[in-house]
Amino acid sequence: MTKRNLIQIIICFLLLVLSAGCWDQVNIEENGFVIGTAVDLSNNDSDGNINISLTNQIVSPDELGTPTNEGSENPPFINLTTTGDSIFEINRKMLKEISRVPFYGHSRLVIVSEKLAHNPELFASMLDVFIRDQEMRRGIKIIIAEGEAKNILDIDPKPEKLPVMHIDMITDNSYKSIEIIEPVTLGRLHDYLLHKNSYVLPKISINNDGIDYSGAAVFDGTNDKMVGTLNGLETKGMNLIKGDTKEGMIKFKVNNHIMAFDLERAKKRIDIKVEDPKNMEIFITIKAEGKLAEMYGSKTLSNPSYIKEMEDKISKKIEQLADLTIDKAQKELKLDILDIDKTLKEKHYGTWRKIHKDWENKKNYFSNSRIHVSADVKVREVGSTDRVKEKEHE
Amino acid sequence: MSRRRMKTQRRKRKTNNPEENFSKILHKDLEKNIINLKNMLDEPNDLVIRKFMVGGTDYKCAIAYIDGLVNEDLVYNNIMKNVQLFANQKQLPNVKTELFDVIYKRIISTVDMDIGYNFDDLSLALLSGDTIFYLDGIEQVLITDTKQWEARGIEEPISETLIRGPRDGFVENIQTNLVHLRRHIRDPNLRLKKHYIGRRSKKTLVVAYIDGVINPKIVKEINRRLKSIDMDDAPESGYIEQWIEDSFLSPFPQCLNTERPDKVSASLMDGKLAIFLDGTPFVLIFPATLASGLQSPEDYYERWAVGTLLRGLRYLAAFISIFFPALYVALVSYHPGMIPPKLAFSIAATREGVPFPPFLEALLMVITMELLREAGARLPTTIGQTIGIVGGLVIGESAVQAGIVSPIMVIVIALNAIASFSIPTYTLSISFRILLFGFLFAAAAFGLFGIILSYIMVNIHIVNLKSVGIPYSTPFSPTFLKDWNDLILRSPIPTLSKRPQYLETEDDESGDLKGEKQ
Amino acid sequence: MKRFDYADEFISEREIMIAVPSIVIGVGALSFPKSLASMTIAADGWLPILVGGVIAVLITWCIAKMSASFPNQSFLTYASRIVTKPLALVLTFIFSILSLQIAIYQMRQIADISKQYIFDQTPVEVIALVFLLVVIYAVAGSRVGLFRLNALFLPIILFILLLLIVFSLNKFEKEHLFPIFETSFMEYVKGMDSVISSYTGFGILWFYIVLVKQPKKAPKSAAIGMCVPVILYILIFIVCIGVFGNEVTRNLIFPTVELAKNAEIPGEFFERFDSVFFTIWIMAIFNTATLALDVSVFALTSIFKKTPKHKILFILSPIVYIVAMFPENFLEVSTYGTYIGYTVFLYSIFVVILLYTVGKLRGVRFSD
Repeated sequence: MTKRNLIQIIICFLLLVLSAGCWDQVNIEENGFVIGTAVDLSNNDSDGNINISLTNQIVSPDELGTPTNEGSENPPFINLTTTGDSIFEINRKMLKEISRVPFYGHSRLVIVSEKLAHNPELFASMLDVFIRDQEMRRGIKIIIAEGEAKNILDIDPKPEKLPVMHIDMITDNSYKSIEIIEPVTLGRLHDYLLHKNSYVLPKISINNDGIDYSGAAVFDGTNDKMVGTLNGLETKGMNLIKGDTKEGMIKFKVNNHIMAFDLERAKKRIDIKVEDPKNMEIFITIKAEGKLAEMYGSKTLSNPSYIKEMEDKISKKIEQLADLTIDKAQKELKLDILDIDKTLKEKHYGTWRKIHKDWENKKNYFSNSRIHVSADVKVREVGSTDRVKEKEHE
Repeated sequence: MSRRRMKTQRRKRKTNNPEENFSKILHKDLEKNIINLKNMLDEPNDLVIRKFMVGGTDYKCAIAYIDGLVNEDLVYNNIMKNVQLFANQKQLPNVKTELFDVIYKRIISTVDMDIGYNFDDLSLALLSGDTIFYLDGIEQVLITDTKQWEARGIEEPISETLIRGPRDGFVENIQTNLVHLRRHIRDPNLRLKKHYIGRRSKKTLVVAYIDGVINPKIVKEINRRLKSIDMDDAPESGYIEQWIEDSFLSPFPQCLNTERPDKVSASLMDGKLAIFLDGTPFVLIFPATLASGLQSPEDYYERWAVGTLLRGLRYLAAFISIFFPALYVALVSYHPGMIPPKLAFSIAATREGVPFPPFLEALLMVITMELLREAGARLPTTIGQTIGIVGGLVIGESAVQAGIVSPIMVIVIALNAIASFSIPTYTLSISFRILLFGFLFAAAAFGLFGIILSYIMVNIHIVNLKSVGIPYSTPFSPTFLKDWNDLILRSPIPTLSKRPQYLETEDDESGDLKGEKQ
Repeated sequence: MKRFDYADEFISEREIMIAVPSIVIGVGALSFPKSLASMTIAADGWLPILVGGVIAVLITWCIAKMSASFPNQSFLTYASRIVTKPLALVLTFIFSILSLQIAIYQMRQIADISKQYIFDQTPVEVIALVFLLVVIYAVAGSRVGLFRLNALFLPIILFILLLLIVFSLNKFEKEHLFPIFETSFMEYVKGMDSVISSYTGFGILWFYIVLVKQPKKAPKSAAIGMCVPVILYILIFIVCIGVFGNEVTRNLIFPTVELAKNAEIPGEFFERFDSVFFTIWIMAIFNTATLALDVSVFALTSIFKKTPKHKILFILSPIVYIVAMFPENFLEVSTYGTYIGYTVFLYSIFVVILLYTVGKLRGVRFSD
């Protein structure tokens, strides 16, 4: 009895598997691997609706070649642009234009044009599908492009083969430079979008001989609209204050000699006096360590007072950079891009609860606070030599 | 079922037939006995019957044996010569029964001698290579052991070669095999219980175990199952295995077979049981577990770190031989996102132009692989190698060139085949190949979801499977953590001082870490 | 020394220790950080997990202790001795229905999540059916076989979870965990509310203790077993908050799977961890579903003594399937889940208290 039942179950199972399976089967070569996407604002249509144009960079593996079989001369990718008013709709439209099914599982980048980012709410709504769709990964990087975003997907990617991979690798190397902010992933952006706080995204632009990846775009958290930019120096200051940097270079001058300090570790500490919310005092202490990387001039380094002098100069320079950024944030942007709000929440939760709605808006407690920066720099190493050239007369 | 019943009926008819009903008892008259014997065997030309007189008397006697099964020197020197010549020098009694006794006790000088009382004893002995001694006027015969026949020499078993380890293997002769075993285990508690298997073939089957080590319940159960065997002949121990195994629906072998005496003796020491069958070098070892199928005697001969690494490698091989093609199919047709981008693009590029979906491609290659393997096994070794080259080069290379399969698929199948060859137990590696097909179908239908559900199903089957009452999945589950020091990890020999717990042995200590026990 | 006899149908207390976390860890672990994070501030949610966990461990211990004090008696037998046969029958029947519902809920959830994370077009009905067939195959086998399955799968499940936590650590930001202890008392209570429904399943002890060879040791092992999910839940929750932050966690539908999606595998061997993680997690859900279905069958066989186990199983299976296909969308399914979670939890407490007080009042001897 039970044996017969068992056999029946097995037969049913096999039939089911053979007849009913295979809904989702898509052979790997039938996928159009989208590795990067550029989103632009296209002209409004007749109804006055905003139209988005989406450019997907789709890899054509055949042209990419295999290790034994070099690809052909054709570019190994296709940039496909389609226009519509929802991303999902655009994706469906794209099916009509290309034989392959767009597959976003290997997507690396989303590049959004500045023009689109300036549009309130549109930026967040556009990203919704990227976060919601299961195929997309939370590690996709978001970059803001100056000018048309889709042009960036057309750059010459030498020595890489794919423009997206080229940009992706450049952003990965950003930890070596203090003028660039760390790449922002979709996962983190999700966090940003859910909060009302302002945030910054990295910026990219095309210059004569390739791409320029520097600076940052500032977004207002209340309506997720891009409100301004930071240039390289300001980004540097912001990075120092936020303590996001692990490595970086700071140029300074001692006796008119240019010197370069290689920052290896920076720690920040923020103390806030919250007695009077309308007039908060914020103390930022930056502790930095590093080594001397380059030195013009030929003074000996074995003199402790000289090292001390250098350290003071570097501290001054850091404070100066930080003040520049704070000035911009408080006066021009009136946005807390320095994440001081976070510290307030962690350490003074009660005060934060009371004022967090007005931190950046209306009463703008942030702009009214007084921020003091002090830096403490230690030069740990001087490299492998004391002096490279002979002592000059000074 | 019905066929067996018919057979029994036929047999019954035969025995009822008065003409063929040779008297089961022996006659006093020598001639009558000889005629009976000839009738029973239908006067074959290898039956030798020699009649002569007991030396110095008028008593007729005869010897009978089958030519080729006996050592004729032995028959001549120890039986005929003694009876004819040495009997002369002795004072022989006149009474026939006494004479028979004297011949039995004093004259015939072979080691193993017995008295036969009826034709059943006699025919079995005669056909096994013994020599029969008749004395006229006596209703008994003497059965002397004179067995000797041409046999294969002892060689290293081809099916289980080791780099390090004894080079001897079992042969077809059960006596030789038991000698092998005796030489490995000199324990007085080694028990060799004889059974006769086969209605017509009457093969000798010996159950070997060490009393006081093995769990008596296992012996009892095996004996019970052996008694239930009813078939004409058991040409190979595979017949025995399939008759007494727990579940015939299972793809897994529920006992191990081996040609290696060292493996058998090690298993007996662990508290397992071995079944020897005359006529085959393959010895069955009960009970078996999944883990024991992935062990090789060499694990113990090499140092522990090597043994452990080899075991780990074998578990990896088992994984690859079951899952690899299925995983490839699942990833390529359902989850391209899981493959790192560069590899994914490269697979996509190589699959460009392949006309079949990955599942068919894999099925095609796996079947080709099986054909190659089967062809190689059937052919003589030298031609077998040619088949390997033809298969490897022609099918692999040309199929890729012709665009029928993608190169990565060839790698997948090749790796899978190598992995399945590196599993030490041939029967287990075959069952893994069966599972492979199941997983391939599941992967084609439901991707990873199908694979994991099939894996769960295999596990359900394994936990419900038993080998002579011992769960097949032990010591993984039911968990015997103490047995894990000889599972994937093979601890240093001195620490392996306990017999496997899952066997519930009577004596659970096989040594003492602290040295000799006082 | 004898651990099991020839062809043994008993289990050891260690198998109870494995079965308890096996049934508790299921779909709940994938989604609980969401509801918990939405009730609490930052990482404060660990406190409700801990408190809820301690309560769950206590109840587990009580159930095991009570069952063990009637060695070799089934729930129906000793419940009849305490609260008369008709009432005991009703209690058993309710148990059976509730565990059946756990099985139904798990099956529906696995189908939904599979559809979301590994399939796209395949209908939920088919995914659920395939899963159900495997579950039936397991339950149709021997009961000790289920415990052996648990012992085979649980280490794999714990391992993959550990791997998930390790791979997530490099994205872990400890700032997300602050501020601590800012949640108000009422929010804690509400948080505990949402945790409790992920702790259900220990009700199986009412029925399985009778299979244990040495029931005296069972309460301790059951309690230890119950600690495993408590610790795991705390770890998962803290890692979720640390990686995503409270705000994101409360907006993700299955934070634990998203955690896997977020994880980075060193060496880029696999590109996506979420498929691997979820595939392995199917084993966990399978464990829960089979044990739940088996308890349901077990309870019913103790009521209908003459009907064979397979018959009951084959009658129940279509019911499971049809009821599982009932809810229309994600929201209904999760409401259904929370409701079952509660009911089972509260019902277990209710039965413990009922049996204990009535037993004391009527002077039934609880042997030790």
